[in-house]
Amino acid sequence: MGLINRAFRNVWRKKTRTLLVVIALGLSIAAIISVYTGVDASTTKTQEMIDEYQQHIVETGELSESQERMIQVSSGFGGGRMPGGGGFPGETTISQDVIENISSMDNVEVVIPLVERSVGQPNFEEMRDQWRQNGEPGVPPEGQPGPGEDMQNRMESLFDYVIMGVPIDTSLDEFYSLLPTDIVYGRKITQDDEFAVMIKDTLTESDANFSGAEVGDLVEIEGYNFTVVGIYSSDTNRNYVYMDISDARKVLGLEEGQAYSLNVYAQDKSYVDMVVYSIEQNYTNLRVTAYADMYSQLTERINQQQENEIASLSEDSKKIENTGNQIIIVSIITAGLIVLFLMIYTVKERTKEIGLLKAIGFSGKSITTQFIIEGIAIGFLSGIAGIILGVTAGPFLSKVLLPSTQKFTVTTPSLLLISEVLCLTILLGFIGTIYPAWQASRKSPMEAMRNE
Amino acid sequence: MNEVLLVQNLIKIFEKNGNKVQALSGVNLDIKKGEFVAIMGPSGSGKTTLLNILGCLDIPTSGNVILDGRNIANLNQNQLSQIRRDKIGFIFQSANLMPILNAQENVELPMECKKISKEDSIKRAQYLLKLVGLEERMKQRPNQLSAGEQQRVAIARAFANKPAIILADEPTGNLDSKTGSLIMELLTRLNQNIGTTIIVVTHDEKMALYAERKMVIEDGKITNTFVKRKKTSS
Repeated sequence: MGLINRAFRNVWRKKTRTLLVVIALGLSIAAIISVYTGVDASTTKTQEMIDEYQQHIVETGELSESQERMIQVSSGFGGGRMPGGGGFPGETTISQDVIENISSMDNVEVVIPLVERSVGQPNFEEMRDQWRQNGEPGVPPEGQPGPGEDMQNRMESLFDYVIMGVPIDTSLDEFYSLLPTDIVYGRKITQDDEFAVMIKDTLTESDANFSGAEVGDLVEIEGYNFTVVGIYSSDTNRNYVYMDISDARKVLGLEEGQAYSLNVYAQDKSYVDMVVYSIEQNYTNLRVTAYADMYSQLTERINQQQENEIASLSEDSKKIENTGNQIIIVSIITAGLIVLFLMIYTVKERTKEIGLLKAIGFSGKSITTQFIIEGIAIGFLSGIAGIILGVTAGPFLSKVLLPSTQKFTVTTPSLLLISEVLCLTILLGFIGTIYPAWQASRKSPMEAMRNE
Repeated sequence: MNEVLLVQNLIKIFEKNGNKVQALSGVNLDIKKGEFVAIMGPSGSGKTTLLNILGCLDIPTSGNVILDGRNIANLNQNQLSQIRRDKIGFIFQSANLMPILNAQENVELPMECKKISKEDSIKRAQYLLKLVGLEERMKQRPNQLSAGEQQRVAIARAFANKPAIILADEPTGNLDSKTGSLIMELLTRLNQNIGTTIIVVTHDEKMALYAERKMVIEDGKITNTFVKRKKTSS
């Protein structure tokens, strides 16, 4: 009959009490496991999202050499037009004379006219008035021209597709990428083609006009038949249909040489400001923006959004972690106190037994060891119960204890966590028993024997 | 006969809330090896205090207690614990058996702290239980035994480590008179068969009759000693 055997028998002696203590401790341990896995899932997912945002910040921070020399000129909508956007019905045009004059300005290398027009939705002005009446957000106040940036973004998704007329010139395309490069089927439009288009792959699935279209098929655009020569893929949310600018003018009823917007390239990026100034001075009705400025504003705005998102995610994650840590600390303290109170009660209850052991010659050390083994045994049993509960009900418990983790997938705890928790419960059993065991070892055998 | 216990001028003073109470006021006694002695006295006379000091459960204020040739009056707790383990067997008013252990395991318990091998302790426990007439009840837990049987297990346990003396504090106090007599007869038989010195503290005159020598303690002093006349065999 060794110490360990006797300790385990003593634990088993009060079955109901042991069972209740094991359940109480097990719940604390299950809470620790659940919260830990919940916090872990939240931290991992948040880090993934932060990494993604940070990657995006880097990606939007670079401009090509030609983009740095680029100036966007647009006719504006009723006197104004957002940079980089446009193509809405009702937009005014830029005449061939203006294009030629800009081309002949000092430090201008090339002017690329573009005809861009969204197709498939009701009149913008009607839509704007309706949205304004409904009090929808992002609509510019009455009297302010143009669709407004937010509204423009919202409208993009409402149009079926956007006609993009560009000059078909191989040498220009080579330098300034006028046509899309990620071609899935077919090829680019060439100067030899007549009424040819390149369509975005998503249009073949979503838009009735292009549904099921393949390379070589005829498609009808605003009453004209075009041959699909290429299908491309792109990350942009705009469904561009590329065609020769002359064909676009015919489709949209523009005169020869007219354009809705221009991409003006300065000879060097150091001339960009001068060229912008010259165009603005000569054509006050045109909206002129250096692409780099626009891009920098855009990048800054996007990056600001990303940084705000990152800060918000980090803050949320930190909150979850802090709450989780608080629950874990409370659970550990609770578990420790349960062991402490149980063992103090046990020592008090078994005072006479301690007295007897001392009377027959057991040393204080042996008695301390026996009680510590009992505490460890309770810790071990509770650890096993807690692990079973934590593994089976962990994902559910973590969502109850940490509601913020509901959007994350909480996985089963790792073997390492299980081992750590088991060690923790054994340690709690040990620490919680030190004081009562010491108290037991100090009892005078004579006084202990007198205890009733 | 050699002296196994010699007590010289033993004084014990308790101090409680600043008040001093003298429980023993110069006790002198000598007990020889193999003797069966009863210490009698009224309640509060100091008999339990004397027994606690003799059993190394308490230390005297002054005086000497020489047990088996060693003065135990000035030993520390660890040394007293060793003396209790090696030299003394206790029998209390109630059996005080460990409820989680069966009769045999209860008897083995003192041998565990003396590091006696498992095999030897089982043999000795079985031998002692046979001596006290419980060979059929060795595997029973205390709650399955009667009060008399429990006390017999406690007696067997007291003899486990072959002590120099057995100290019995009111060993029949919780038993009916018939069972009490049986227990005293058992102690007398063991004293005669094994030869272990037995000191019984009791206030029951009838139980004291089993002892060879009866000492009366009053107000912390041995006031009278009676020696039983031995029967002469014809």
